[in-house]
Amino acid sequence: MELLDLINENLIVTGLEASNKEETIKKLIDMLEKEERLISREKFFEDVLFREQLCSTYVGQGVAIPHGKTDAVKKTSVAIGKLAKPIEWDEKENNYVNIVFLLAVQDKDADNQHLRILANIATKLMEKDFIDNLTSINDKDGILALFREDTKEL
Amino acid sequence: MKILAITACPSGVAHTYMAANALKKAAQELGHEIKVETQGAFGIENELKANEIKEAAVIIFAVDTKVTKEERFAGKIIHRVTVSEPITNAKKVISDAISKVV
Repeated sequence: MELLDLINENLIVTGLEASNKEETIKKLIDMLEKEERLISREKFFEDVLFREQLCSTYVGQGVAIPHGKTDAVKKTSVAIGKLAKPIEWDEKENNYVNIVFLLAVQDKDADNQHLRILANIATKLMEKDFIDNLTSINDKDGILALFREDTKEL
Repeated sequence: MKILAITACPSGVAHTYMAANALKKAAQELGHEIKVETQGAFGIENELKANEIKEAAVIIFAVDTKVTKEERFAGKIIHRVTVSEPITNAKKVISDAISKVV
């Protein structure tokens, strides 16, 4: 299981200061860029916003999972941001989020294992216990450990 | 009641599998039998068979994209929702689907 291919401590931020969805996504993209996970940050930003317009990526319990599967991604990755203050995610639905998972998927990623892990992480995000843990843990190692625990059976 | 569902989203990475899990859990809690076919990044998985489709009372399409092989469901009662609806309220999706039958 190659969870660490997808995420590392430099792709996790807590106490993230952002006032809206676009700013949050941009700041998470900055982390992906620094870790050399992207080919084009501008195109990836556009692709993620395009996906947002199709349908809300709010998944309940104050969590959103914006994502893009595109050729602007060099290496399939996950960036996690815990916000200092909740932000409005969908004007229409009046949903507020304080945890954002940005999934960056390389569009030709043929590694099913990567996609299985992402699907597994996404499924975990619906479980109340998992979100409670994620909400209470604020150190990056602790957050990484949470995912390691939950993907080790894969 | 026997329910079938298909979940699919444009990128097929996350929502497809979240919606499938949410529907299975809610159906179980409401005392219904369900089988969910996912049309996502791994292609069609847990494919719905002709005899299962024949026996099903209602089919839920929780999709933000086209259903692959939709012709299998000709003549069946279909309840169509977005892929995010089961993720935030799966029980309502199932109740709404059932209300189309009875």
